[in-house]
Formats: sequence, structure tokens, C-alpha cells
Amino acid sequence: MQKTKTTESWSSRLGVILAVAGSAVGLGNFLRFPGQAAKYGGDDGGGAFMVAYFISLLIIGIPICWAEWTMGRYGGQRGYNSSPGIFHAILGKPYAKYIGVIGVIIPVIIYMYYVYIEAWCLGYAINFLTGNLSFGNNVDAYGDFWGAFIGITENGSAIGFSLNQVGFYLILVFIFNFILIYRGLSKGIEWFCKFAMPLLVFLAIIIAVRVLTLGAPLADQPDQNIMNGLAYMWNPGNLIQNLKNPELWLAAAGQIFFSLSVGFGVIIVYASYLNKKDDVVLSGLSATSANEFCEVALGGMITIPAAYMFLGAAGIVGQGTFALGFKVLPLVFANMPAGVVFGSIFFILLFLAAVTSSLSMLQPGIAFLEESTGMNRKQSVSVLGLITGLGCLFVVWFSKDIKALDTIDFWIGTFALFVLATIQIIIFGWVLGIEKGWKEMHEGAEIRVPNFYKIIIKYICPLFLLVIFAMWVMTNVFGYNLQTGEVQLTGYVLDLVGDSDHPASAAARLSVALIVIVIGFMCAIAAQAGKRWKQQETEDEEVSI
Amino acid sequence: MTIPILAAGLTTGGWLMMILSVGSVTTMFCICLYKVLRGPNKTN
Repeated sequence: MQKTKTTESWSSRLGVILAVAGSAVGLGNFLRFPGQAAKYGGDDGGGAFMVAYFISLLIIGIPICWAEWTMGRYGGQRGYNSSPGIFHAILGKPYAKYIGVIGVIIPVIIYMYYVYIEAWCLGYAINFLTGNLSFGNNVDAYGDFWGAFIGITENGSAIGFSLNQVGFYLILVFIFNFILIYRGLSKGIEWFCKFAMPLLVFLAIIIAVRVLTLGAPLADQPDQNIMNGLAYMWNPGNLIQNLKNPELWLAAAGQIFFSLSVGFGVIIVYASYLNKKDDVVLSGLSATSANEFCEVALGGMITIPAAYMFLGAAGIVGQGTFALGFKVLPLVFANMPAGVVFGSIFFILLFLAAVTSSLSMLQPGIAFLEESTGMNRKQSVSVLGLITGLGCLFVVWFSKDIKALDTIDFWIGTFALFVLATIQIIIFGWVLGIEKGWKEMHEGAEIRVPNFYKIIIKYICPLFLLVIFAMWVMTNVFGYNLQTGEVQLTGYVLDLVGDSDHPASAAARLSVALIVIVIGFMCAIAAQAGKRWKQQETEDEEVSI
Repeated sequence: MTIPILAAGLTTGGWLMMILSVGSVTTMFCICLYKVLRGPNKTN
């Protein structure tokens, strides 16, 4: 099964590692991770979360990463760079390309709302610099600014082009992303990640040093000091008791998932541009460790300790990822010495993290369009730009309560991720076969993976994933309470079906319709691609005879 | 949810958790970076 090889490739090994790390490092590292640790770690600190987090990293995060890198390179060697093509090469069955389509749908649809969040980061950085975000201790003012900025009160109100409306920044980041993606893999994505990633780490270190040297910034609140802020993030409390909470395990495994970009359809595509003798074991581990360094060592030392020092635990409890990042932290930065500078740096840091992630979301779609239809890069970039542009406009229009964003994030950004990662690890361990996969993984490898990982990849990881996925569906879809056993459909389902207390949401239903349309469109292209690939393979066979 | 009061600061367990977590990811990152930079930088 051999197809004409692409002309795209990475120019350096460090470049591909930084690109994969850039894909993984995003807002989740600096906002979602610390928020989850503080929320699920228990009432007396987030330390217990870390135990479940590291166990999840070892048994699902790292193995799936290696499996994705290996399957990607395997598909690339057979001439395929898109997820449907790679699955087609591995499985050799007509249905394989449709499984692979999940790996195109996820990044393309996530891009539609991620670029909107990316625009928030750029907008906040500029508004900090211009002094528009200096509201002192007025907690409500920060919430009002955020609400007006993203149009949370009324559909369509986000589309404005003043400095404190998101529309202007959205156009800027959309154009910026597509210029980079048009330049190609090595001249666009790799080139940008090579300077953006070190800069991002440097900026995060500056912010971490600032936070750790704040002492007790509020004279009338001496208990709100750095040591207690760190305690709120890291104290394990009653470790054994906290670890008995199934929600903590679910949250920790989920965080590993979202953070490492596994099951996202990106790593498999990036790895397909490697050659047979290029290492994937050390490269995969390096990209993972870069992400973990940014998340645990930097994200874990910044967000929660900083928020605790200015607002105490009461200001953090119950805050979601966005509220923490765009309501709580602006207040924190505005109130610290030289806050304008540090606030701007922090949002530039988030912006860089978001750009490196959003770029990676476009490449799977580009690769699929080029490979399945024979389009050149200019055409595929234009088509993808149109699809994601329309999708993004939809998300921005239905901005009331960020309903469209939230609905799409739930069904695609969470549910579909679990599905693809589970399929991938089962294909690697059971279809490709652990022995063949293991041998393939170690082609050109600079380090060896310990043998016990064969058991983890074949048995433990799929089982753990299936259990976590089942628990996730029970709790987040059917609303099963793991503590009390009560069942009540969650808001995401009620938004679609409605009941007497919770009417169905038109925006949520339209968001699901959008998802269905994109799935249908991609499946239609995949069907055509199947015919094209089969024809090409027949021609190749005739030539070889 | 009760709102915790952590006037006691980092406990011994907290220090351990922080040092082990931050230390392990930083060490892993540095080792990987060292090995990657020491090895061939060009892809094949």
C-alpha cells in the first residue's frame, strides 16, 4: 500500500518536537490545570490531584503519545499524511477512512471556537497595555468587561471592532494563523514554534518569579500570602480519603488527555512527515515533558497562588477556566506592583500558547484536503479557511452565555477526544499488534521504552480509558452522581432535548447541527478519497509488476 | 463546598508534593532536552 509521497517535511528534529509541544501547550496548562487541581484536590489543597494526575500521565498520556507518533510515522512511510489515510494504511479496510475522519473533524471544529478564545488573549494583552483593564479592586468591573468583550449577554453583540470588542482581534488572529499555515510545515508552523515556544517559557518564568516574590501583597490580609497560596495548590490534605473520590480520577485523566493533545488528530499527522529512521520515542517523550514542565512547574506555580493572594480561597472556589483566566487573573495583575506590564506579559504568553495550538489544528484538515482531493496548498488553505471562517462566525454570533462554544467544546472537544484516543490505542495494541507496533516504535529510537509498557499499552491503558470514558459518559451525559447515585440529565443533554424546567436551547441545537454538517462533509470527501487511493494503489501495483 | 482556610501554609506533605511534582517534570524536561540537543538535529 504505497502512495506518492508528499513534498512537505520538517527541517529539524527540534522543530518537530517544539511543534508538537506547541500543539499541546495551550490555555489548559495555565488556566485549566491549576483550576482542576484546586477544585478536585480536596478542601485542604490540591496535592491529591497530582497523584492521580501522574498515574494517568504514565498509563494513558505517554503510551497514547508514543502510539500516535508511531502510527503517524507508519502511515507517512506509506504515503499518507492525513488521519483517514493513516488509518486506511494501517487497517486496509473500507471503513478505516471513516474512523480516521474523526481525527480531522476534531481539530477542524475545535479551531472554530479556539480561534475565538485566542482573540480574547490578544485583546486582553492589548487592553492591559493601553490601561483599559485597570479597574482596581472592583471585582464586578472585570466581569462586566469580559462579558461585553465576548458578547455574553446577547447573541451577535461580540461582533464589534473597537479596542474592547473581540471582532477586531478575531480578524487579526484568523489572518495571522492562515498566513503561517499557508507558508507550510517547516516555513510556517515549525518556524513560528521555534521562537514562540522558548519565548513562551521565558515569559512564564518571569511571571512565576513575580508571583513567588509577592510575599503578602495585601497589608490588611496577612494570611493571603504566597505560602498559603502554594498550600492551596499543593497541600495533599487527607491523601487517602481524597484519592477515594472517583471524580478526582476522572478529572485528572481528563486533564492529561486535553493537555497532551492526545486523541486530537494532530500528533499522528505531524509524525507522518517523519522518515522511517527518525526517532519517535525520545521525540514523543520530549514533547510530553515540555508540556508537563509548562503545566506543572510553571502553570502550577502561577495561577492559583496568585489568585489566592489577592482574593483568598473564596475568590477561586467555583470559578471555571474562563472565569479564572479572564475575570480573576486580570484583577490580580491589575492590583500587583507593575501590574500593567505583568498582566500584558501574561496574556501575551496565553496568546502565544493559543497560536501554537491553533496552528496545529489546521494541518490535519489541510493534509486531508490535499491528500483526498488532489488540491494544492493554496486551494486547501482557501477551502479550510472558508469552512472554519463560517464555523467561527457561527460561534461568535451565538455568544450569549457562550452557548455555541460550550456545546461544541463538550461534544467535540471532550466526548470525541475520548472516542478517538480509545480507538487509537486499541488499534495500536490489538490491530497493528503490540509486537509489530513495538518494533515499529523502536525503529531509529534513541532510547528504549521499558518492556512493561507492552502490558500497559495492550491491556491497562485501553481498560483504564474505557473505564474513565464510561464514568465520564455516566456523569457528564446522563448526570449520574458518583457520590449519591442520583441521576439527572446534564445541561448539555437538556439543551438538546429540553424538559419542563430546562427548555431546549436553539443555539445548542444549531451547534450540534453544525457538527453534523461538518461530519457529513468530511465523510463525503473521505468516500471520494477512498476511490482515489484505491485507484492509485492499483496503478502502483501495475507499475511494480 | 466549604471554603478552606490555610493559615498554616505549606505542610510537610505539601512541600513534598510540590517538590516532587515540579522536580520530576523539570528533571524529565531537562534530560530530554539534553538528549535531543546532543543527538542529530536534522530529520532523515
